[in-house]
Amino acid sequence: MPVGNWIIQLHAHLPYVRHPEHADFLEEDWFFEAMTETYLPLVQAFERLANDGADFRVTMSLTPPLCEMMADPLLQERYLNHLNALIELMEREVHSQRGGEFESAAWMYREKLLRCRDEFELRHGRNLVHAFRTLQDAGYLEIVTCCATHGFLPLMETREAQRAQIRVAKANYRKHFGRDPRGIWLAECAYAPGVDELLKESGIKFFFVDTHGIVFGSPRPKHGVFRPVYTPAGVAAFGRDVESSKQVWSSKEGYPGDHNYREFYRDLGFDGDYDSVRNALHADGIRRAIGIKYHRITGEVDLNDKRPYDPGVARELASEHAGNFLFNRQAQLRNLAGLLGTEPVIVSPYDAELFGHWWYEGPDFLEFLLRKMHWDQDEIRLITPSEYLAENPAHQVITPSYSSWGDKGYMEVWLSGSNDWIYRHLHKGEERMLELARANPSATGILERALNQAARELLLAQSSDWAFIMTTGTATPYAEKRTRDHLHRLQGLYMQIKEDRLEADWVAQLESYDNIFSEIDYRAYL
Amino acid sequence: MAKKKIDEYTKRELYELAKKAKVPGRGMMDKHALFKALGLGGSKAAAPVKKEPGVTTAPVAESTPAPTSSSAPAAPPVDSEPYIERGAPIPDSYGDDKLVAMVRDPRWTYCYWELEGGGCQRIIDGRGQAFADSATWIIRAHNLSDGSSNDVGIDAGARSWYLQTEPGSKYRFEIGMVGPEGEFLPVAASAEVETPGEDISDQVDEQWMLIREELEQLIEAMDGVTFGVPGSALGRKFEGSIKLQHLGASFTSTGTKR
Repeated sequence: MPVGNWIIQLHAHLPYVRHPEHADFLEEDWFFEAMTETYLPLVQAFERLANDGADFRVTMSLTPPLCEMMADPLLQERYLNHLNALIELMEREVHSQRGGEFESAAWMYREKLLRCRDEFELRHGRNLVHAFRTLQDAGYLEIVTCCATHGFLPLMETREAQRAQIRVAKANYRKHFGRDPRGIWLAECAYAPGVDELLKESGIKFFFVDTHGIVFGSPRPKHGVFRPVYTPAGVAAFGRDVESSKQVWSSKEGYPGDHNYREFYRDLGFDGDYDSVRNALHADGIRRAIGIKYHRITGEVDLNDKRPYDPGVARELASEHAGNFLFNRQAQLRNLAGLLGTEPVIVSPYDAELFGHWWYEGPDFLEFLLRKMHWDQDEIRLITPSEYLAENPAHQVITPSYSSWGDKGYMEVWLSGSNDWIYRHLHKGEERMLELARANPSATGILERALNQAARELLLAQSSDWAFIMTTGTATPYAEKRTRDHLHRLQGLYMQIKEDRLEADWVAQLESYDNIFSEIDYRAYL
Repeated sequence: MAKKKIDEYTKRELYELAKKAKVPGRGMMDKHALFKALGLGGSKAAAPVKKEPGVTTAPVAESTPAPTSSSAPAAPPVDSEPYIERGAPIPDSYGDDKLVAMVRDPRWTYCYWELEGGGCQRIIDGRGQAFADSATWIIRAHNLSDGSSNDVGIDAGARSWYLQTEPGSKYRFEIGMVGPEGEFLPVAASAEVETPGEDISDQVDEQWMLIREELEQLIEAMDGVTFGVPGSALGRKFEGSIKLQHLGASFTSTGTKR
């Protein structure tokens, strides 16, 4: 007897990082690691569930840059090489670790990597988007889109630039998934009143906001964050639930911090014999993390005192935590149903990369959870936003608050001393792109190609990832480089187009470097 | 034996030395940190950055200086700092007169500006250089919601500023000079912006909307007809009258919903 509904939304995103001009590029690792630790394991989990007859519903945003990378032949080839290097390493490791305390972990990695390679190459034909599309077409996933390059809409200067991010995303979604998106995950849940009108224009029916986006909305929401609302434009907004988020997100209070789970900061790339790990490192030979980690969290101890990882124990723990999580959600929904007098819906969005990359056992946890939800209970209904809206079409009209799901709930992470310098340049880029588009509404040939490339450069410069990285300080030079390179290229195209002196060779070179969105149409800015 | 400089070691050599010396945390250290931990010199140690889950960027122990064919001007290496490429050159400014206000949160708005479009020059032409030299620069914040204004003094060379605001209010900002008699000569003005509230809304009126796909198609077929539908099947859930508005494909009802 269902007491309430649960929407789990996994936001899968990476910035577009592809450097054909270098044979080996460090930051492409982000993609390879996420493929191995998050995206492939999630697909494996979903397919196992489907094959075993467990009905489930998961909502996922697969951002346009991520889809483009998954579909890109160069990155597919490089990923395969990366996997091969790791597999080769693990074939040696299972021998050298024999009889030792890391043996079971070594076997686990070997087996998982072999499976990744098989499934990636043979089952999915190297393009993992197909797997997600199949799961959506079969009814298990609802895939929503995201801003074209994960651009941070409220900090853009012009409406046209915001609109272009949505239009380009919609066209890209259609290319990968064969239909139009019904929903969107706004980058960072960053919402400003009026953005909903742009969503409506593109036929998008729902989006997500952080908790206070609803709770501080105007007028005040009758059902808090436990029912979606309609914005005045008639687009539904689903608000994030705090309780279910904290149990999974928090490294202190949440499951991922448990002492028996895998420790992130000890890695074979640092600890292993240099000659053995050398091939799995980058061309410069510098020791870095390679994703083979043999230790468990152990507790509040020095890195050097971490104890060996036991995959079997960790997996059991994930199952236990899944049961605990389910129990808590049931209690939460029962309580809410009593208070609200209506069937509540809890919305739990997470970064997909939390499951597997940051929390290694995350995909196991999720699979156990979905299994238990199907076989062991009937109080909670897993549902997608579209299904929910089809069954529950009437909602309160509220203007959500200006908000994001970033630290402190507003825009500070993307607008602070470390990154505010970029905006005068990004805004100028917007103005120039609009100027170019308006001056050349029906371009053809090399001019059209140049305008399309200008649009790509602006979009890539607008990735909110760069500002985010500048705040966290994890790869600041790279983020600055990307920002400046794309703006520089946009500027070059702008001058050449305005002064009617396009260099076809240079345009072609940019098209090969920054090749995202082959289908792009610069008229998205008109 | 003369002391070797950091460049004369490879990272592997330093690591091996650190291993022999049992330096704790050596697995996480980059070359500079190892060098310092071994007490070999005074170069900067870079501490490993601890990241919280939820930060979706990968921890990178060191950036690879990436050689590039673009026209980036190479920064001259300082001491033994590795060359770190930070991208191709972009202009410092664009020759405009503009002031842009960006709301950061309920209580802070970021403003950046450019004053190179000729506005300043016009003031100098009109009032003289001495006037301009003695004037102070301010941003005037107009709170359009309560009608108040306040001035914030800014440094002459500044190009941006963070201004304090009231939550839930509309603002417009101006930047300009204040002359000796207190007269304000604006050079640029921002667009109107609105800060969010920081609490639950005071408004409690309820308005409800019902959206159904079939209804949307029906309305398209009707092509712009507006009529009230009292007591119909569609309205049964709601008390009060239902007015079908041509808001694209939705209608709203007012009145309390049980």
